[in-house]
Amino acid sequence: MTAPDNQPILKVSAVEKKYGELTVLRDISFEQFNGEAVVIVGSSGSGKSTLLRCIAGLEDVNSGEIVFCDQKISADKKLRYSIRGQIGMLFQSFNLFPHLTVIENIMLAPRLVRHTPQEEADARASDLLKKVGLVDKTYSYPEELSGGQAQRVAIARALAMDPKLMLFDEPTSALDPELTREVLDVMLGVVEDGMTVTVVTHEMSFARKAADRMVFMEHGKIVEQGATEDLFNNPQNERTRSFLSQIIGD
Amino acid sequence: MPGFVDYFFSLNFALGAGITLALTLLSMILGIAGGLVLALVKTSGIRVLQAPTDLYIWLFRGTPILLQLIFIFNALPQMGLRFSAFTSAVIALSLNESAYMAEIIRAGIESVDKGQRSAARVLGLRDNQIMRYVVLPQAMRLIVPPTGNQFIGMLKMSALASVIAVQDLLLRAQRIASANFDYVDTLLAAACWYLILTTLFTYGQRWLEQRMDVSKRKRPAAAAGAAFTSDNR
Repeated sequence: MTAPDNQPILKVSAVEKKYGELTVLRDISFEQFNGEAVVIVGSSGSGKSTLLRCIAGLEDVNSGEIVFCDQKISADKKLRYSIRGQIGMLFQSFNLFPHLTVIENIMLAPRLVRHTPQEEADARASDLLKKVGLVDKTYSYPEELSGGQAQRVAIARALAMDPKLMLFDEPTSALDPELTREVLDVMLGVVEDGMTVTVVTHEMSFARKAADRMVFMEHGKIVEQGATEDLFNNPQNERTRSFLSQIIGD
Repeated sequence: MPGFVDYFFSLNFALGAGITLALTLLSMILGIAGGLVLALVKTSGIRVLQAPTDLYIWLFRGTPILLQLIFIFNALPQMGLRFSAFTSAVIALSLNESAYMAEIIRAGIESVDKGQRSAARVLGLRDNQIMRYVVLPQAMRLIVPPTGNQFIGMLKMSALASVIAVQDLLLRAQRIASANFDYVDTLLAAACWYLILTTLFTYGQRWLEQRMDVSKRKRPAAAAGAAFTSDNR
């Protein structure tokens, strides 16, 4: 949670996204500064994951634009190659490469995309495994890991590319409560190290601890956004209020 | 009068088995290569190439391999394209095999979870790197078992080449059979050679399948990641 610079690292302006006739995102605008942690909340089907996929360049927007470090994001190959993994992403289903060991998973992109020398990539991967507490799993295959361990490896794999922005797409929603905690702890560590993160999650305790700002979405629209404490303590919008009371109430 | 054992151990039969094996391996290697190209085109989403690929598969799966073989050996020379019998057989068998391998490889590629591609894309891998290092290695688990069957099928299908006078195992057996008027011993000797070859292929297939089973694989010690050194464009 470092002090933000004055230039936003990510600027989402009036984004609209449609699948055929169905509009899943409409008039989405927000920006994010370097070192800031933004948590996006909202009921399922509100378009949060689609928004992250658009920011990651996995999907194209129909109108509006997403600008990351002065580059306009799209699903175009050329752009992906030029961004070279500067945006990291975590998925609900981990998406580790099952045919590679843990350390190979982490080194694949640095080796292929950045051409990092073997020893350097190896040393970095070991450091990252230490950071996520999984040194003993270095040569394991993903199928030998618990869900929580798999997601921690996925965090290490994303960090290995030294991204400027990390997107977390409900990284704990496929996990049991006790596994959720170990992943959230690692995520908190990443935020405390000053990483700029955009997180979609239902974990309100994480949001409260980590988020500088929160964005509340519903039916593909941003209903309310603001500083975390303001949103929790004094939500302006009726929908935000009922959503928060549902989630925190019990 | 020579008997079964003499035929089986004769140089003639061993050479025939060698030609059958060469025909099979060459046709399979070219067939897999062709099938891979067709499958990559089919899954690439490049519109203009879809129709020609479909046409190819439709044509070669829809006509008898024997017809294709005779066409290449007998009809093409009339259009000014002449190949030796062995070359004709390799061309026909591998063109035909490509059509079948294309479908096997395509099914393997499509079985790989979409999330794998998303993850690799976000990490910045190029499309060809995603195919080579992420998708194909995983598709292999689905591709290898039916490909083993194709190998065994090809070994037997290669006997068709005897109709265009390729000196394979079957043709040699038949020639000796009619010369000595001894069909039983010669054909049994040939059958034994075929069985030996198909059995070897079956063991090869089993070995490959086991090797690809991640949970039974040995841990790569310090050399982890060394596999990614090539192809650094």
